[in-house]
Amino acid sequence: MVEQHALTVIVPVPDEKIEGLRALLNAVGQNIINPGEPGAGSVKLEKVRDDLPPSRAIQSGPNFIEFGRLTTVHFLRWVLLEPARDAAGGPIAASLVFSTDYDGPFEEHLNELVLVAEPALRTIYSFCDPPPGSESLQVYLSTHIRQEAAFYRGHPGRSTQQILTVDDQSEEELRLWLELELDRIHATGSAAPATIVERLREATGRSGWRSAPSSGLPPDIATRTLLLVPLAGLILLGILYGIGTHFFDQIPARVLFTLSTPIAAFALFAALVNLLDRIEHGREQRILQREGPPKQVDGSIDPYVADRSDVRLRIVTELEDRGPLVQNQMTHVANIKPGMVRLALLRGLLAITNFLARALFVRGTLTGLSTIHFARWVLIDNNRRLLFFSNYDFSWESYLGDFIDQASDGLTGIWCNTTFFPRVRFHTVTGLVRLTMLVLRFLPWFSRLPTVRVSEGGARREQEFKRWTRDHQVPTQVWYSAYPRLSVTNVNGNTDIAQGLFLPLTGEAQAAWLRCL
Amino acid sequence: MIPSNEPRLEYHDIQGLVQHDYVELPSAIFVLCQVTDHERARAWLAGLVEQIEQVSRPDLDHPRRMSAVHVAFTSQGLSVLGLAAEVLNQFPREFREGMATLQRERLLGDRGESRAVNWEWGAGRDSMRTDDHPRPDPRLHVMLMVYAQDAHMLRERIEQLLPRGTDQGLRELKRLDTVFLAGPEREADGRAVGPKEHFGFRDGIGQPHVAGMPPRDPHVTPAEGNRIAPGEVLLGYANSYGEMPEGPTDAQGLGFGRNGTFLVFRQMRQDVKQFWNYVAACSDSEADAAIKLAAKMVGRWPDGTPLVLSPDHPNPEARTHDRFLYASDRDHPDPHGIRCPIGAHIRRTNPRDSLGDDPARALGLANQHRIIRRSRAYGPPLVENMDPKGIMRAVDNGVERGLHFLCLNASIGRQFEFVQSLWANNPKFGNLYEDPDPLIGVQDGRTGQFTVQGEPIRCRYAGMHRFVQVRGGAYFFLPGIEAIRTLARNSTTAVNR
Repeated sequence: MVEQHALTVIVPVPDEKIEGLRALLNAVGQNIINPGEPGAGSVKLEKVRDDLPPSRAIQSGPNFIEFGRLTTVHFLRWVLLEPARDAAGGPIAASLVFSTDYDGPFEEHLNELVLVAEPALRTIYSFCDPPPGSESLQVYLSTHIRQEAAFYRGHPGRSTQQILTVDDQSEEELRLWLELELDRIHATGSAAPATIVERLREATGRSGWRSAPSSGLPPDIATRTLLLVPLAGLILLGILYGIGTHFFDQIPARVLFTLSTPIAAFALFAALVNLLDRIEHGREQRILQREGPPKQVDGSIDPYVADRSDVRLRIVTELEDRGPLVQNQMTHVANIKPGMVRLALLRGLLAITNFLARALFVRGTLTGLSTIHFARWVLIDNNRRLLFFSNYDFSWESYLGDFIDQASDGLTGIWCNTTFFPRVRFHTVTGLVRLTMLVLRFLPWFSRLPTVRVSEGGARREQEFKRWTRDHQVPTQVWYSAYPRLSVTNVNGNTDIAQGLFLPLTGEAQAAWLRCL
Repeated sequence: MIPSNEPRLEYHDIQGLVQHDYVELPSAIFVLCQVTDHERARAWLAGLVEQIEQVSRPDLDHPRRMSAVHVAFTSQGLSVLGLAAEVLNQFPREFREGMATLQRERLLGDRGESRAVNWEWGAGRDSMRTDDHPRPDPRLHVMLMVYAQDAHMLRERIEQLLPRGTDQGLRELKRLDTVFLAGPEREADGRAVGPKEHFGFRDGIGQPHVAGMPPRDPHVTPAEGNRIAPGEVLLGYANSYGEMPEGPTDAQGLGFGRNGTFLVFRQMRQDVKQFWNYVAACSDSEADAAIKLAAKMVGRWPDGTPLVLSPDHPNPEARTHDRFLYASDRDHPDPHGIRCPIGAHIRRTNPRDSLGDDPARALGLANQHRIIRRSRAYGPPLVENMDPKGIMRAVDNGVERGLHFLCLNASIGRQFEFVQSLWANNPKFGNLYEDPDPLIGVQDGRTGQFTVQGEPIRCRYAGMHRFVQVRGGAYFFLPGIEAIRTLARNSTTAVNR
């Protein structure tokens, strides 16, 4: 089983170099050759030559960069963050963000990056401040790493090689092989499931597959880890009961104290956040009144809200739905609301999110969403802005719909700490009970519990939330995926198929496995 | 979530197309117009507005309808007719930008021959861009829709509404004719079964019921799982999120958008012979097997019987049946697609309760993406009685035929575009791998397949063609009647009353 990690490298870009860098990145991003065509996963040198800086010596070889040679990369992107203002109106300089979702260890990944793409990397970073000097690129990139606050993986433990390569251990290759064999079996008439499975196993032996892949879907340690949460709750209740004995003689009074204290504490906390939101919303309304509504005119950058011009939206949307209509990307940047409370709240919620993403949502779904390959949140610009990256399946509209319908509480919790987010109200009195139900619902034994929500508004305000998201999206100039034709469910389904082939399945389990094909 | 008490809709202000499919008016025509003189066009509109069919109140007796008239506008059309820019800007982006854009080409799967730059109408080239990016035809402003009992009456009505030789301030860009196709089967009262589309299948059966709208058949109570909030179709009412749909209405639902809806129009050419040749080839030219495979692709038999209810043969009792589910159907559950394949057209354009682990929740989520369909066929049928066996035997005469696909919804992005991109075009729909919609999905010619689930193993059909090509299209707004009066008066100050 491999460990998947997120790499985020952020380097400042001087104002006078922005335009040149943007042109080069656009040229790279728009000319990545799609899978299925010759030279797939690379960018031809001739396609970017016009945008290369004149001072750089042009390297030899027909390609500027060959993403397809990277064996440790799942997804890769370069995003240019233009100059902006923070929530207090202070200036933020431009920077270049590079990110990968990669198979560890880190040193191997970094070495491979430099080995495959050194000339291209040096060219791109010659626009930055500082440009790479005499030190090695590994050192240069390492010094600009920004640690992510939360990271989610949709198919943890599977290496990019296991997911898709042409060698015999790729699960996609195995599935395609099995499908062909099934076509043959179908043509020859009916057979019993056991016979079919046996034939498939035999056929697989000929293809080079002799055992189950080394890493399957992660085992359910997740549930056990999560049991720590109720356990911690029980310990807390025990401590509270102990404190209660100190104040009350009657047992009912102690119980009442024990139960009401956490509820009251949560209610107070939620009320505080609600109050804050109200105050901040008022402040934002005054800013909007002073500055006027978000600009509809092309080309302007509004100091507080991203401009809503058709040109910016067109640039963002035209970078979506590229290639074979399966995967998409999103880059999103929002200002963090001023104040220590907000920053602390945000950090806390991202830490919880990170824990849940590692411990609970390891089997291909994040609170029920099964379309996210990788997502991350990073605090940038001295904690003044929150950066969000995601690699997801299908259309923006469906992705946002999933957010709103199935993950609104979590997203509201995180993003309500950023400016101009739709107004939120957290449930105060019933909040803790709701939260408990919400967490329990993700445990297998309680999946039949009705859906409850801890917050109202926020991400539940469908149209406002979608508009806010669009307002804060940033064009992703370069985006590369190692397996653009596979959805998250495809990747996880392939693992199930590969594992099941070598398990001694009988009866319904056998039939269910055959249905996966 | 729909409030248990039926919401009150302003029937007199809603164009009747939202309620009626006008099957009883088999002749119809859609006229696409450019406004050449906005003063005259407004005067024409003022006369027209009084003739527009409204939603009929269920408590009144209505005389038998002989014809019906409706009018819809593109974003440019509203602008040309004088709608103030600040009102127009409140419309959602999808409508303002139009159907013919680079992003929508990709999203809607308009590739190759179906690219907007190849359309017969609705698109032009963006001259500002160096590449051949499409943009909506700037001349397309107004669509007049006329329905009548027969062709003669239709001609009369059109001549009366848009008299030739007089200048109404409008220039006709295109007249889109329609045909009404009836099949070989007979209803109990002897009427032919219809309407059909050119492949030979009954069309327009599955429709959502809009809460507060009189049901199509007053004797049938709409199925609870098939009800959608009025704001899923009409602006000015709460939608399934309990919010007002985006558009020029205020928190009370008042304003220009009130009682209006978005009309999506796509002219789709159907390659009928190619479709039947394909299924025949897959079935060793055995007619019954070919029809069964075609039924598997559609999800219903040619007469309309859903496969979930009757997987092996059509059942005249169930022809227009729409009260069924996939995952949790009480009598005929089909969670794994054994009866109706996962990738079948009707299963993916309305997946009901089938997506996800929790059927009740899945039904609620699927209902956030419903559309009301008002399509009409065009072009002569390949064989007169629409019998699939006859169609298989017939020789292609090269005449264009297809479907004028029309649908109504309050959010083009969340409804029509979502259904087309996430459900129809998506090769990964329902955990499949390479299966776009067998009828209307994008096939890239190399990987497209259709999988028929079965026990113990599935059967897949490779090398699927794209049997339907897009020939034109646009996003229109079908305003409330008072809003049309406002446009006709050009009193934009009154627009946000």
